[in-house]
Amino acid sequence: MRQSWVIGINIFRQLLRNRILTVLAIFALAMGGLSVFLGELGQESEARLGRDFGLLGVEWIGYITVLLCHVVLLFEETELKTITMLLVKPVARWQYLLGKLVGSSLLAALNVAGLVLVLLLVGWARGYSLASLPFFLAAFFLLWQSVVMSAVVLLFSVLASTVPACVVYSTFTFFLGHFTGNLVEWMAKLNEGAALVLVRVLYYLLPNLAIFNLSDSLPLGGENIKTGIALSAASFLWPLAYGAIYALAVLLLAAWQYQRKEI
Amino acid sequence: MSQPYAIEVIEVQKRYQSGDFWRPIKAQALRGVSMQVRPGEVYGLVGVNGAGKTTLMKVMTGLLRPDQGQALVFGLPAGSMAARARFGYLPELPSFPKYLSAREVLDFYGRLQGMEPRARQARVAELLKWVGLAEALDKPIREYSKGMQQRVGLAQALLHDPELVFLDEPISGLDPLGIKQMRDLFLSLKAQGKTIFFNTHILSEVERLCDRVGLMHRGRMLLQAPVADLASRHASTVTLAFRSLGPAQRRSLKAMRLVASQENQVWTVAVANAQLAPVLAKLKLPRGAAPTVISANSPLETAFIKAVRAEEQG
Repeated sequence: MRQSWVIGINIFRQLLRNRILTVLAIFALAMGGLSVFLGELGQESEARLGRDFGLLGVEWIGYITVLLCHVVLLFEETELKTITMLLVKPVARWQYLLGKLVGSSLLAALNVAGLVLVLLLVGWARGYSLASLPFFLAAFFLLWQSVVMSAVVLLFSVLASTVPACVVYSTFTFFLGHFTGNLVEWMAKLNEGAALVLVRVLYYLLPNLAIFNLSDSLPLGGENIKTGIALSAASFLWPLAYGAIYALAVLLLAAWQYQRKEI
Repeated sequence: MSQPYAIEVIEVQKRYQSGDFWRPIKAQALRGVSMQVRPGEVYGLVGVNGAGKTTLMKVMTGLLRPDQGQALVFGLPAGSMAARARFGYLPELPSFPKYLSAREVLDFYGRLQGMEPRARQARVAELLKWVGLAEALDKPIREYSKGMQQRVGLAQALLHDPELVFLDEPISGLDPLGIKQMRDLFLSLKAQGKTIFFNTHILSEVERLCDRVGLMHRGRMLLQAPVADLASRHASTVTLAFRSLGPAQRRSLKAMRLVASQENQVWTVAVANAQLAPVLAKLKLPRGAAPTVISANSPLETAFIKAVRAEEQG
């Protein structure tokens, strides 16, 4: 674990100095500006729009951060061959992969924290407040989703070995992961046959990202959207546990494949 | 019990598979390679590009697993954690994260080696001074020349003071000054008694630096010998170019067991350095027909060319 932490911190520092953050800072500012603009146009309350667009931004900035991290690292490994010097040190390959997960997750956490700060400042400037425990919890679970997606991108970076393939597979999974609920509906409609098997396989393979989106069930910004839903400890623990188990399973699969890979 | 070899390779075979999974392309990179390197020895592995040198080094460092055979480092399986702690490795044209400084990069590798903070900081400063980068240690690596990056690579390989150092094409792509700097560093390592194993296709460097040499071609080890032995067994040669050679001169060459070959209306003959004057005297060339020396081969080059030709002719 110590080796993974050392690698993770080094990756975090290395990426922090890269241009990735500049792009993401622009993205964060654009999201803040968009929420103000839509608040002016829309009939909905500005606070609610600010919150909804803000959380959408948090989700996207988290995913884009982990995707860019792994893309940059994959490019350095394959094109610059930086990996050979590291893997001849007393470091197991799974420790290296875990280090990449740590480094990318730390950067995602920094970026998500940065965007949350921007959103709070926008709200303060516009005369509303987003600073509430439910809002911070919703942002935290979206960050947790980014950690899960980081494990997924990591697996694809090991399997695909090329940057475009890694980006395509990961982004496809990111989108499909939001619709696993629809797969349950399809399974109910499909009685039998190959299509049912395929949908069932997809359902169990894809990450269920919808469970990390708490914005519909949490009372945010003083408004309780789905009134009457009692939020128990289990409703917080389940996404945490699911995310941890899914990320661990994906990481184990990536480590198994990486162990066999010829560098 | 006798001391184990620093490196021992036993009948190693390695085949690469590339292409698509439905149409794989297979290439045999190593064909039953066996060799040993003794502790304290400087061993040069030479061969043309694609001979299998880098593949063999990757097997020794544990980056690749052989399909058959075994590689041992100080008697330990290559790639095991215990073996990895005892060697340093400089890959061909090393690259580093360009936004980090040399000090940060070396500090990171020192942490991975489990070095204590104080010892690590002292060793990093010492090595950067030794490789001549003391002035640039806090500059981002993107501002470094290729030669400077090569020296950072050498420093990372030596960080934990290993007994054995693997150097893969350590002077390829360097300018003459960079080559001189790297050569001086290797000589200094040799003086410290380190075991050094390096790959190169530059034979002159092997002659200058190595105790023993291995010649590889098409995945086979053609020859292994002390450099001094090869120098005594194979003479230096020069290749002479003649604008014309009459039948009488060609007969004389044949009588002296020298082969003249003609290409683009120029005759070329390889002659041992020591035989140059007697050969020219026997040819009795007319005035103005003196040959031109087009290349001079060292004993190692002569041995290499002979071994490769013998392998190619089966």
